[in-house]
Amino acid sequence: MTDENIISLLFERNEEGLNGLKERFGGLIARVAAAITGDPDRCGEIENDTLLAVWERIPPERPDPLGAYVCAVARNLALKQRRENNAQKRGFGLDVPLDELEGALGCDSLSQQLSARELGKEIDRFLQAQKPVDRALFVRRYYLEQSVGEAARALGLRENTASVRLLRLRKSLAAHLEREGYSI
Amino acid sequence: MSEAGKVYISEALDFIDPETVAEALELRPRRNRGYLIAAAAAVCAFAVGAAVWFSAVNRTPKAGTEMPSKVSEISDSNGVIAGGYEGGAETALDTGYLDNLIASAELIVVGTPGSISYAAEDGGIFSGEAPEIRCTVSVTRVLKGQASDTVVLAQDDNTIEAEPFVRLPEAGEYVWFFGAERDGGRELMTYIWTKTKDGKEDKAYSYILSRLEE
Repeated sequence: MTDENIISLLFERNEEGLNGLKERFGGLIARVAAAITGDPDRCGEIENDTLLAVWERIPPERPDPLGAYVCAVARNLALKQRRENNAQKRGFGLDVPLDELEGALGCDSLSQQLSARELGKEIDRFLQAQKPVDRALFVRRYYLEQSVGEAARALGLRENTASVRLLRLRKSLAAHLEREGYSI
Repeated sequence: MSEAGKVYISEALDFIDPETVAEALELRPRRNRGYLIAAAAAVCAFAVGAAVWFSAVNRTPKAGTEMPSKVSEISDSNGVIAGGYEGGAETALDTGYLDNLIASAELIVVGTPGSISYAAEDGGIFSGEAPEIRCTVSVTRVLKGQASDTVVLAQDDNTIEAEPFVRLPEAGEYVWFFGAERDGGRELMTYIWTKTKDGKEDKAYSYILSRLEE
């Protein structure tokens, strides 16, 4: 089922659209949820919440591309749950990964120059030019907001190695954006 | 840090292609992929790499400088070790080939900061800093306990800066180039052997540069 088919069905309030969503993106949603929460048992719950959220938002929204949208909904639900868990356990939330990126890119200035969507596309273009292991490291650290240790272990790297790579990636991303004409 | 900035970044990340995310989640650990397989592949690649190298630079080794047929034969060479390309030096360390190479009194490792720092961290033979722009690492301990002087050099933009961070090979020295781990995580390990022609910038370095710039 194509994105357009799924969105049309959702607009018609046809539950086949949900089945299409689940079939198309269910696996990815579960993996994103598991990677973020570290709790495979919560994946089903997050998957259901994601499908429900998409059902409630489409219509009126008509996301393009649908996959990124669904993935983002799952990501944000999982991150929310993880932050809540962390807050309960430790008394504070963790968003160090975003601090790192924000620090490297100087987002106050950047946000005046390009939208979040445009920045996302630039980041994706940048990632496509990286080695798979670096791409995966970046995604795990900043998209899935894993700790450096978690990301390193998932990729078979040492934590220090992962830290060095991440530092280089942040600098490279800033350089990429500057090459594209944005002032950091 | 600005809260608005973090929200902006987080929203931007939402637009990362799900294929990229899926690929990241599927990528398996780099290690545990078969030490022995990598070593065996390296041995095969040794001969192939050398042949490719010689044909590429159209050079015939002089008498007495034939490519060693065994790794142990190069242990007493006056070696310059060029661990080029990210992961190359690390891979070389992983396979234990440096065990034999490091016996040389002087060791020069050429590579990107990443390559060197990974080697430093994973191989445990280097100590020192591996800063982002340049790295100068002193070998204080080698695998077999021998101390050695080292000059390491590299620029983060994949160009090699010769002075003062690296000593170019002298005539008659061997240059060993360890590389390379390519995109896709495949361990294409080629051992390139050459001998410098005149002790200055040589095709060996040009070759390394070209590899780094690929």
